[in-house]
Amino acid sequence: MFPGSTILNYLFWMVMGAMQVIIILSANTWLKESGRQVPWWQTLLMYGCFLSFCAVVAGGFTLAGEYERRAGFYFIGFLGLPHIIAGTVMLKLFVFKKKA
Amino acid sequence: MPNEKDALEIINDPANFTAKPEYLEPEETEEAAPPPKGKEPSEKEPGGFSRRGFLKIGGLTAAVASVGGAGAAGFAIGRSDDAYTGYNRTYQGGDMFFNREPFRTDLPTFFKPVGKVERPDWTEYLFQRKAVIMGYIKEGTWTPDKGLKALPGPVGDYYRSRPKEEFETMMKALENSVIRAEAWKAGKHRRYAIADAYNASFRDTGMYNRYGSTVPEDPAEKYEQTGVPVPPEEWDYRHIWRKEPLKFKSPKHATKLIKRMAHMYGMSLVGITKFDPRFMFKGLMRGMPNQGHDSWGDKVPGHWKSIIVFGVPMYWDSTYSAVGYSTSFDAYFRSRCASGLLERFIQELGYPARAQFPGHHYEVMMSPYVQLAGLGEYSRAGVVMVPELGANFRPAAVITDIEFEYDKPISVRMADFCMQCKICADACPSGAISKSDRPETVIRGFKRWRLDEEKCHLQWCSGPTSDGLGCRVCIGLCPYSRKNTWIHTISRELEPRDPTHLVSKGLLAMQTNFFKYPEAEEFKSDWDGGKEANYHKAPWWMRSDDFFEIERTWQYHGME
Repeated sequence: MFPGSTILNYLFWMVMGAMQVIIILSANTWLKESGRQVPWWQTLLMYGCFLSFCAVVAGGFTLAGEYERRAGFYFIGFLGLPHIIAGTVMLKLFVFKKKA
Repeated sequence: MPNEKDALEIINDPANFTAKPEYLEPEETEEAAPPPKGKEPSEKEPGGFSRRGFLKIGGLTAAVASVGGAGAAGFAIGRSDDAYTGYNRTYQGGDMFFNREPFRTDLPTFFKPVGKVERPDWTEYLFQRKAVIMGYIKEGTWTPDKGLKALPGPVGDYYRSRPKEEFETMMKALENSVIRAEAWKAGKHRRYAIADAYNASFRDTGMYNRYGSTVPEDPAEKYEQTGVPVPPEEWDYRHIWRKEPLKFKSPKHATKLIKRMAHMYGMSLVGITKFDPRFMFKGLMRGMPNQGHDSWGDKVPGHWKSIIVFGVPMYWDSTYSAVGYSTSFDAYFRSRCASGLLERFIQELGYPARAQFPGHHYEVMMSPYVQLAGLGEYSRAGVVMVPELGANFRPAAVITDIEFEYDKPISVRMADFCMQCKICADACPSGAISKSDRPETVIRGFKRWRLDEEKCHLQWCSGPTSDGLGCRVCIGLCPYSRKNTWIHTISRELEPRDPTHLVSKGLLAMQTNFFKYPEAEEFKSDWDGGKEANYHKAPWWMRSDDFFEIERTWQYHGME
């Protein structure tokens, strides 16, 4: 990520890790405030979908970094779109569900 | 002190509260409002940003930043030079990172004989044939206008026993060599100035220095200089000074040390196998008169018991920009040096050793030994593919009589992938690579995809290079010839373990639909009907118009 640096790489990944903590805390806070009950496994599933989407973006850009920009964008388009659809469906089913 | 209170008591004592000034409007705080159903009181600090507010906005920001960070990290990993295998942790053996142990097998893929196994004759080695033909032309013994009927010797017999197109293709290659040389002088030397200088530095200094100071020592040169034959029983022992060889504690110890030494000499991959004479040329022995063509026959030196096979990749960026910007000599030079160094190391320990090295200093065919040593698998294009480097692997070897713990071949389904994937065949500018689904031609007892080496050589001679040595388009395009990045690691590890073959089907679908390759014809030289296209554009340091006062009269074709 930072060629020649012996420390920035570690800092970068630490910040990325810290951001995941914020995302999880934030989701938790928002769910409590809005009075929604989401079982842990549904939360995990949605977070997994988000992480997987990040991996797809990373994969596409890895290809772009390898001078395969076209393949990279196709990669994101083909694999990223199903993630967005799946994520939206999960939000609808697990979070914005009709209250009984 | 009787009136002493702690800090919390002072703060919470109502006597110490101050009244709100009247000029302030009554403030509707979340504390004052009754909490909505399901909501807890907020923790907003006076004049500040509530912890919850921060978490909500921060969470959204972190999510967006995570996606951005993933993309940035991915791009940096893909672009990094550290992802080039073979130019990294070579000396520690770190380039040989693929765990082959789960994939060991008794026979390499497509290695089961289907007929009588025959040793290759030296005339089956194209560059030996070419050397003889060029020798005839130089001496005036034979010229192309005399035709195939008059071509003397075993090379004439060879071509007369084959379809006449093969000889015609060789003649066409010689013609095209002349046209290529003229085109080079006329202007190509400007566009490819840096690529050629890079190529020539390895070729003419590293490999064929005119003052004869190259590594390794070559018995053929010794014979040329002295006129005295140097049989392997003499040459392979020439630097041994110990009365007895140093005895290894066990074959395992021998294997461990010699493999480490191969890495120490800069080799990315190394494997060791038993010497199998089936893949040794007949009528070929360097150091003997006329390279042993007339006298050596099918003898096998008694001390040739084991063969250590090793190699390195060609530099990646230039290989991706084949034809004009690529060279084999950077890898040839390195693997050749290592073979000379390892040969000497082994002789210093008291054992005989003989280097087999590029460009053409072999008594054996390298490909079968690379497979037998468990380094890789046979491929459609005829070259061996290895898990770490794909088709981008340039081997050399040392033959010795040390007893080793031999490596077993591997089966990682690369050849299976080749059966579905025809990317190299479709993009081959000369059409030399077979497009049949399975290997169907029986060659010396084994089923093979037949590489039309005459057509392949024709393209070599017609490429926009100064020496007409090489094309390498198939190597650069091969889906396995990729950087060592995490996405390729996942593919590399998943594919051979997937019994359903769905992974390979998915990967191939992505490879053929997401990636863009120039058409086969476009790789050819402009005078040969092509565009001198490249799979990837020339690396920045090979673009001569960016460094020299050279007017650019060409377009770069290929992926940036």
